[in-house]
Amino acid sequence: MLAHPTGCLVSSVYGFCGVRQPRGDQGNVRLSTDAWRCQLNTVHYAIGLGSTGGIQPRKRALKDASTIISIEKLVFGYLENKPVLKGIDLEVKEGEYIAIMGANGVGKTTLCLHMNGILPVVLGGEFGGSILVAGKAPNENPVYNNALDVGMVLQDPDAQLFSTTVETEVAFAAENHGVPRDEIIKQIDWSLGVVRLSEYKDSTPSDLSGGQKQRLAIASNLVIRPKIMVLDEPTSQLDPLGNSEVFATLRDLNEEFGMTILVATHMSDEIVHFADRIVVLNDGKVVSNDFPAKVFRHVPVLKKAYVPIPELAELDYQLRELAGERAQVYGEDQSANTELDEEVAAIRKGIQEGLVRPNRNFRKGLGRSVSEELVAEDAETVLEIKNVDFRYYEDDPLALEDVNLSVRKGEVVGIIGQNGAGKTTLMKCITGILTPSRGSIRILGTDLAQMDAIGVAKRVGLILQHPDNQLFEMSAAEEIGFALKNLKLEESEIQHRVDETLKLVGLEGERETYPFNLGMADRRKLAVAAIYAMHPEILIFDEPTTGQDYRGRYQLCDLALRLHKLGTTILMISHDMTLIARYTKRTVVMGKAKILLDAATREVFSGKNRAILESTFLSPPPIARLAQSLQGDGVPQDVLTVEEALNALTGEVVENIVQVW
Amino acid sequence: MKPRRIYGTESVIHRLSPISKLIAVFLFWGTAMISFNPPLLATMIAFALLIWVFARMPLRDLRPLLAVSFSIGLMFTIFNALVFFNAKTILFHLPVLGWPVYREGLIFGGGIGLKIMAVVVATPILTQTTPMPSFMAGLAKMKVPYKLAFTLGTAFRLVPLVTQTFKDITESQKMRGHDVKRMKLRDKVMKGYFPLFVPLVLTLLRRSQDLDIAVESRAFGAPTKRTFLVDIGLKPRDWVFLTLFLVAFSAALYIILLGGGETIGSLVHFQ
Repeated sequence: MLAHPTGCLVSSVYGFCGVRQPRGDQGNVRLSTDAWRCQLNTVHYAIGLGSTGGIQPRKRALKDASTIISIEKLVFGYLENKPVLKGIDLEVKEGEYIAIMGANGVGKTTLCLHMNGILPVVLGGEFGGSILVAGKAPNENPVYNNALDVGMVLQDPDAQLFSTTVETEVAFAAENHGVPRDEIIKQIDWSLGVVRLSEYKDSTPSDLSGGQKQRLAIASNLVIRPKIMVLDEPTSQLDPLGNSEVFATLRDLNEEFGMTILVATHMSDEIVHFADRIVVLNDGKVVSNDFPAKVFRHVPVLKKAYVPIPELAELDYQLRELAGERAQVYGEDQSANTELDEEVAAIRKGIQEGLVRPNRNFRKGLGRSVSEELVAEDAETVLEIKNVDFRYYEDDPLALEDVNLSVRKGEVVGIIGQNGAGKTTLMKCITGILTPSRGSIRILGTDLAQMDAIGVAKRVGLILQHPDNQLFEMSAAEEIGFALKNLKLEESEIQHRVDETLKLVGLEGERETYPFNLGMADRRKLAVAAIYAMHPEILIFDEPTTGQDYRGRYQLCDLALRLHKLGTTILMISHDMTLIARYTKRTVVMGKAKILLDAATREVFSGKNRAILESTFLSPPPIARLAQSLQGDGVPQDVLTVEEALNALTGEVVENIVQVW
Repeated sequence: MKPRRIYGTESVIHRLSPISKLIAVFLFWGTAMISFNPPLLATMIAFALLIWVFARMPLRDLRPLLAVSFSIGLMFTIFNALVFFNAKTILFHLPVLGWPVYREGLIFGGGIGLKIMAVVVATPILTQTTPMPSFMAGLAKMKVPYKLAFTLGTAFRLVPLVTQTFKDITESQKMRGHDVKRMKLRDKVMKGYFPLFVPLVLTLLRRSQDLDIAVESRAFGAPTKRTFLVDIGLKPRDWVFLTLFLVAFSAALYIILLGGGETIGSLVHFQ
């Protein structure tokens, strides 16, 4: 449905008069959504971006919907006098799609687990305030009663599936509720149909991809048709395809079946397209609670709460900042532009009206943490992979097929591809954990097959996705010293390197701390330190930002760059295209066990390689896609960062918008 | 090792109701436990192997089971041959040490070894031909509390989880120059495996908590009469199977009772 032009006009008038536009109540989502989009046009005109054009509201009307979740002054702590939630107030209308965002450890999971009474009924803790979900107080009811109204999906796809077939996994909840067998069969068919897994009915859950597993977890709750689905970071361990699958499924549940969705997530770029409202938590309280476009207008608040900001919203904010006083006269009740087509339309109109003048000689490298020049061809080759094949079991298909890769000293190489493309398998071959079935790997000129574990460890370090499997000592210092003892270094040298490395990662104050008493972000840093202390020539980061908030995401990448500046060659596997664009010089695209593309990062994300990326379900970062969509309007094509986009659109020079340390 | 799979309808054994298989396996275990008769135990093992063939279970999976149970049986045999408490018949003396090796001890130890082997060989016939939900439904039908049956089923699920976690940790140790495989036995235990205990337990606890939340959230333990998706009712083939099995079991019982309480099989007599 298109926004009514009169609405836009009214909105513009409000804007020009410097008066806040009246809004409907919280339930009147569609009306307000149209309104904020109209206001957006006003602001865009003001800063020279023009109208966003046609608008497609996503939601059905919710104005008459009743309240399904009501939380008042919710206080909760796992330990006495140490509250995690410090007075949460939240109301959710039936049929709303709510995203909960905030830093790691801020209480997102804790809040989610209150919805069906897991907290405090099962896991215990100090509870205060009141919570009503579908008319019941979950803290006063057994979880099996709450489960009739609330489905729960957890972060780790593997931890919540326990049956041997998809069908029996889905049946579990219905069986527990004593649903007759014939009815269970009907409900299984329906649930699997909704999550598009009907053809996998007889499969083993462990054979499914990450996205499919999370959809199965959704179906396993769906079978008893709850009114609310609560999901705790369901996509944090998934690749971009898995992300899309899960978010599309949730959209269907919400739009087709009117199910209320409450999802905790860090995935700003994705959730902004789906959620009706975003609730931001900081220090155990709600600090922002509004439509996505409004929430993402307040970038400083979000940065303070360590919420990742969608690139387009960041660009929108920076453009407003650059517009200065001209943007301010329209008051604070403005919305960020978060949709690609809207931003494209707005900028295009600005160009047509002469208000935006593309800077064809824009300054490359702004916001990028690595220099533009590729490493010289005559630089020392630190890693040489030739014709490598690998398969896990005799009768399995190849996990790596004829892989050839050469890395020179001082490179920062990004490796991208869907789960199962062969990225981690390749890295495990490079570190000697797996032995290729064909081909050779040479590190600093020496054949890997000739090296023992110490020899490999001195040359290559691999930092795995989950830090907890890499930590096994009783203190941070011992954790770092573990590898150094294996290298049989002198005690004085060990102590020197322990101190040096702890300082490098910012954990010098945690020398004697038990590693599992550190927060997730610090455990990741310690895992990096434990590997880096060996001073390997090559350091491999496998999905360093999985499940990380805004700060953790950038801190770890900055740390990688810091080590790079000390002379280490970096290989970084990631599903986060924004980070790859920001931090790497060169990018290798893997798909179906092969290397599909190996080129400078700017070239990989340019329009000409779009087909290759799409063949493996990848796409350039949103900011690069924005520039590509404006190809016919004279906007430079190979933009990689928000800072570069600002320079390309306004000529202004903003060096780095990311400040996380 | 590749994860083990169960395929539901591969053979007549797969298609049997879990109740039939549970009854058969419990009776088999019971017979093996009370019998000290080596020929009977050997016959039971042969019978179990025959069912392996019928069930089209890969015989290569037998190798580790036979190796483990044979090693344990051998240890029992050697130990009992040397120190059997009521032994009379000396077969020979060990060279150098001069210790006597007793016939009764040798047979008793061998009998224990055969018992273990019989139990070990028969168990996969149940676990590898019965999907876990059917297994749990079968137990519940036999009035085993569902919570207990589920806990048992979940314990099976923990095995690959422990293996994977153990593998992840040893891999990350290897990446820090700590290669357990190349260590001497003492170092393997003290420096290799012992330090794995804490991270392994912590990881499993975390996983267990996730599993706990997942099953609770799906109404586990609801005070309703639980229903089951899997159809575990007894069919004609089950009745045929159970009849044949009960005949065989009765014959075994007759042989055991015929031997009398004072014998270990028909070969060794106590005074």
